[in-house]
Amino acid sequence: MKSFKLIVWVLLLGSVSALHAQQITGTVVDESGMGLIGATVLVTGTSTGTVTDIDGNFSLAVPPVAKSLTISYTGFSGQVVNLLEGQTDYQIILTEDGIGLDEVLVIGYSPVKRKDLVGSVSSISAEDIDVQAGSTVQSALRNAAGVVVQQSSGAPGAGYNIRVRGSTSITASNEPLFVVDGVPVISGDFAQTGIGGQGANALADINPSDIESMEILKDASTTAIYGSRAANGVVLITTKSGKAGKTKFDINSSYGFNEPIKLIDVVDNKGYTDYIEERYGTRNISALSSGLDTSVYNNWQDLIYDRNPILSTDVSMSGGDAKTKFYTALSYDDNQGALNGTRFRRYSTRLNLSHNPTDKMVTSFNLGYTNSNNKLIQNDNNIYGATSSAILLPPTVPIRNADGTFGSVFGLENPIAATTEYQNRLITNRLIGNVAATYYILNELSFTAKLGADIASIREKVFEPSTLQSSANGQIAEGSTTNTRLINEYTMNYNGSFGTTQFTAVAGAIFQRDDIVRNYFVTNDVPTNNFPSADAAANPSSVTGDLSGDVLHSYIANVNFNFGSSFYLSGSVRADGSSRFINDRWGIFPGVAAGYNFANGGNLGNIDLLKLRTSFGLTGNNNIGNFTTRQLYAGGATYLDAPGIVPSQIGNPDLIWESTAQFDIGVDAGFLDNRIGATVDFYVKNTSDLILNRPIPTTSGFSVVPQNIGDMRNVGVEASLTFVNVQQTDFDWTTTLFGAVNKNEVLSLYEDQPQDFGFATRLAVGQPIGSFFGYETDGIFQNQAEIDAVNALNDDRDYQTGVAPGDIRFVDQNGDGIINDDDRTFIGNALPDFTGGVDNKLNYKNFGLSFFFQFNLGNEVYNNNLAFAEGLNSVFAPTVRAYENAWREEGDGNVFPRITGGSGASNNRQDSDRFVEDGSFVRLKTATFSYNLPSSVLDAINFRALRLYVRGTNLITWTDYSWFDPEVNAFGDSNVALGTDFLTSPVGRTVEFGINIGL
Amino acid sequence: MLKQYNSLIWLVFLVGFTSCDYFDMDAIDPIDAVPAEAAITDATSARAARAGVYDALQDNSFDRHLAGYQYYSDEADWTGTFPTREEFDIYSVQTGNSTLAGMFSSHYYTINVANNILEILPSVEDPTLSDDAFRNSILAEARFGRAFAYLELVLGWGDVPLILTPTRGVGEELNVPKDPASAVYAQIISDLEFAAANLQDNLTLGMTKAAANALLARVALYQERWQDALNYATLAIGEDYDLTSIPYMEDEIWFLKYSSTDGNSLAFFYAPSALNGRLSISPSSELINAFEPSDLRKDQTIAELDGVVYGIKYDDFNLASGSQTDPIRFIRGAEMVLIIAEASARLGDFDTATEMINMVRERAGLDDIELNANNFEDAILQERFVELALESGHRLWDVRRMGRALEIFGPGGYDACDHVWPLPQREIDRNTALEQNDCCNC
Repeated sequence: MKSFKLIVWVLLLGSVSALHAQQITGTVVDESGMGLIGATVLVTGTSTGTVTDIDGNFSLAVPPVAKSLTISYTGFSGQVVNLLEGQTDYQIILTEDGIGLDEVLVIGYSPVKRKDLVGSVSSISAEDIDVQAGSTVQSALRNAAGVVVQQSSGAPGAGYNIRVRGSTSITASNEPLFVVDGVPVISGDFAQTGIGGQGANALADINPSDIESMEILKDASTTAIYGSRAANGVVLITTKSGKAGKTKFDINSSYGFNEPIKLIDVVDNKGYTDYIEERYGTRNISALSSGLDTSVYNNWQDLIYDRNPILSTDVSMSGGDAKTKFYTALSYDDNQGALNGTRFRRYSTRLNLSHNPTDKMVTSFNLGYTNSNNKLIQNDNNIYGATSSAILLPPTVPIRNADGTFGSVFGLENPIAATTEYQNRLITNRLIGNVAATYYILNELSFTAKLGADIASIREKVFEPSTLQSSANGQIAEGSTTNTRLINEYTMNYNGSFGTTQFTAVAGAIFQRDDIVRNYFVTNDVPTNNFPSADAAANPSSVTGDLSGDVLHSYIANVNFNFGSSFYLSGSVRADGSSRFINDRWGIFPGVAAGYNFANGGNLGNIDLLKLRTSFGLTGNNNIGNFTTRQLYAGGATYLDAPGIVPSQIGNPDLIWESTAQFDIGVDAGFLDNRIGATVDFYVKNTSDLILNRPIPTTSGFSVVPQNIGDMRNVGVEASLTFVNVQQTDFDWTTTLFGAVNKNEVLSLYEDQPQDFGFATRLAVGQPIGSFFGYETDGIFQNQAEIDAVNALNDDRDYQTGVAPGDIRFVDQNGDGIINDDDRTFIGNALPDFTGGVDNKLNYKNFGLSFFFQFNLGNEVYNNNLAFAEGLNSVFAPTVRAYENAWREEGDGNVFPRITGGSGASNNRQDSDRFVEDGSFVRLKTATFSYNLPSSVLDAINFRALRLYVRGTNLITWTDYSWFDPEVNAFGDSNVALGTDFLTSPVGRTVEFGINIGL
Repeated sequence: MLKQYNSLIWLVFLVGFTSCDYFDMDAIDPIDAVPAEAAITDATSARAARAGVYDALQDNSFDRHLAGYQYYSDEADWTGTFPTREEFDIYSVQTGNSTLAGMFSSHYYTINVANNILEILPSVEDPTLSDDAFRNSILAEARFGRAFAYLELVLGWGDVPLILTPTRGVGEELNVPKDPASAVYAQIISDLEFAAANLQDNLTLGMTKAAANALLARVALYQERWQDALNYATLAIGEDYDLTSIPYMEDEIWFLKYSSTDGNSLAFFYAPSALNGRLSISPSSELINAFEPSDLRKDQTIAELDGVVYGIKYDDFNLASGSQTDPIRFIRGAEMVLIIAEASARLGDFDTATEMINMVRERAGLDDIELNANNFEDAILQERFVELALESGHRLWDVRRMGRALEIFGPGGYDACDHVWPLPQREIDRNTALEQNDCCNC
């Protein structure tokens, strides 16, 4: 660069003598100093001008009367540069456009500028991804208007629950469709080893640092083109690509830690002994079970939660010329959870290549390969889990007994053993890629052929040595799953204009096939724990293997009209045919949208954009089993060594897709040179033909048949506001605020009968999904007189059976003087009333600061931990607050019931609002502070960029929730049993220190 | 220009890369299942379908074949944690009891497996099925399995729907009413007579002519057709059967086997925690006290460890739950001997009755007794109690059929209306044609 500038100087010196048309030269660069190719440089007020070359340089003969130059570049704010007497060389720095209206998005199968968009789309840029610690795509996704991202467990590499405008399904999936570079990718949990509520996450194989941008498609006009898989929205992921210009090297390395946010106060050894004395009437706890010893104290949580390291390194190289561009990257992530024994490691590499062999042809090749190694431990509702035993196992159990074995009582696993002895590895090799070629038949008309592939090969290996409670003589389980997805896609694109009318059209055909091959075996009894090998085990207990898959044929068409950038019309349709259905294979999914921009050409003064838009469309959900519709006779019904077959599935050949009709109306506005941007949307989503299992008489030999039965509705409003508060040369500050309200309601079920899930979740007509159902409490019976009084209400029966003073009193909802099942009522809901976030980005000179607050308000958590750790009925260790505040005498004001077993305990541990807690929270989700070395220093050491940063996630959480963390679900990615906490490993707090080097 | 067309080859290559067959909508079928209509097509698949009947009988074995009856009598106590099992122990089974619902539906699952074979196999035309004896033997196994399931149904619930065709549709045809117990018994007898006539012992997986005759004997006994009971029992074990030459518990006639890969959890439920078990069920004090002092069978029926008494008829304690291999002995020679004894006594032949019961007692190391019109019923009931303890539901069935349930189980809470279990509420809810029976909690 420096040498180049020298040449420019020489040239300038040579042209000094020229008069009249003065030659001006210069360079147009972005904020990082990179030259911008193709920026327009015009003499202000004239059509005289040029465009910059590959390094951002330009040279222009300007008339002597010229006062200034106007520079413009897509995606950046335009700039006017005054020409100064005697200066002929200009360095012009463009800043990125405040609210990104000129940004080009590829929505569906055609490109569109953000300001011309008539659908509803939320975007996450590489910059937003960069400020986020965490190694999965979902951790890079975060709350956006109408998008709720929830981490259901703290295990690294674990799943997330992502809801775009609410839930639309009960039995099929509620997760959006993920599309990487145009290829819909495999998502979900492929692990065959059950370890509790949490599973693995197939999307963890995509490396966030390779992502250029993510668009979340929310309304039906943008999602309909994805047809039968788009009812829950679509997340489009675009990976990074090279830009023409000097080859760039980027090195990013960070190191930090993951730590528990909070631990629970469980009684110590004295507290436990006191508790046992109150409960069982003896301080001699070893009489309760050998293995208990009052003098021993282990705080199990302290022993299994730690500040554990996380590390991330990636190197990329990108560049190219006018014909060939490339991006290549290699990265390594090593993420240990705050819970010892959990670890997720990933190697990933990517090559994105594009080449134009002729000026009529564009070819591209994108390929990402990942190898990940996920070390899992048992979790959630599982007596062998680490989190569960660390709470419930008495503190008076030794880590190891005198004979060297792990201390354990009541069949609970020893938490140390659970985190160190249990060996479960899930190793994934994943290849996601596509090859494409586009031929321009005319300038406006092109044909594209694209082959996409997503191949996930998962291997599981579990060894449970005999040192664990879960295995008497050692158990080995191994399995493999290979999911191969191939997609052929052919599209014709037309992109032209007639006068001021721009017109784009796409038509195409897509063929997709998935093959899933699985096998799994479990074998028991190894000679010693030194033989963690299937070879050495004596007793195979199960061997399974199967194949499934599906084929999807799709035909798509999409047209977009832009009438003079003021009126927009778009329509799309997709026909999907799926092998999953029998009698009715084809579904048609149309979507239409219209928009009118009232502020075109500056007619509204300071209002740069005021666009009213509306859309309507139909999308589907075919996420049911591959062979669910068929009537089958299955193998595996072995009798001893004789293979057997039995009728296994009644099937329903008339099954069709679940379908969601969505109406959306919204406004986009931009004010004050687009310094303020606003978007508001209102939508109604009606889902019908929900696939539910209809119970049938079991005299048929079957118990359920899947059928299109239910209906559900989501209605919501979402809004976002962006302010470019300050935009100066050495200081800029942008704030984005967004929020959303979504109201979900189940409209119909099979014969409108409610269905129960999880611990206290009920799905019922008229209620939102995720509703909690149980008894309403009314304090504690303080004396026998109170009990006698309510018992007198009904002549036949007692009010509550077997209660004594100190027991929880329930509300008699139907007033019959008896507390029974009929008195249960809806006592809470896991869905938040209001979600959103506030994002701030500040740059001052070379310092950068960004911080993002995320909030969920009005959601409840069913904290089933309390039924155990605060049940005050059993040998499990209670929490300090429950033990200390247990009812002991009349009027003591204590809120926890008496310490008791028997019918009193059954009463006190009933599903009730006692276990429903406010799960609202505001969280400083991410914060990053960075420093960019000034260009003077960079030039001296020949670096393009050098940035030092510290970033954190989940830094501060404000919540009233009593347990670890309100962002939790013991049922993992369940559609219906939501917001339930039961011995789930909590999310951790991370802090990382890092460096970016650009060469 | 040439260069331009060269590059098109790349595009053409991409378009033609994958064959159309690959993306055929019907390209993928499961490999572990086939369409119902393609399931039974030849001798091999018929054999596999018949193994499915045995597999179906293995299903839900603890509650369905053993614990449900044993709790619901004076032979065993509930010492587990599931309240739905406790309801059996205290003779208070509610209509919503999920264990009850599971028992009921596993019988009908078995029946549907058998009905499929019985409908499809007769019309299959294949060279490998040219031997009618083979085909009829398979059909006989299906009918035997179906009869066995109906016998447990009728003993538990009385009147139940009698379904003899496989389920194909999911419409109104699933709403089936109850049939009288007598019709169910008639079908059981018809199925078993076919089985007795057509089972080829060397071709089956364990069901034999003897077993079919033995079940016919049991049914006749329950229906108080004494001469039939005597005849069928004699057919089952032969004229000169010598029980004393066969060790206790090795005189099986019909039993369901398990292996470690096709295992059960019976020992897990019967064993105490010291033997890695759950002790969901324990021998009752009535059973323990029923053994005469020198009865050799006691030590093969119950054991004691650290003060905990437990049943040892299922004693594969070393293997993990789900991999245990204890067989369920549905019919043993001793039962036939005792049927002959009882039927003879009922017909007034006390010599044969005495000879038969003493054969059982002799093997147990007990002194002979003399049966007469006054003592035979008590003696046979007592002998059946200890001989067949913790196998199937003999105690419940015997006490009930002799009309002594109120006398013997009454102190434990048994009422006259406890002669049947309630039909599961979920069946009443789902099946519009099904009416609840007259059980205590109905």
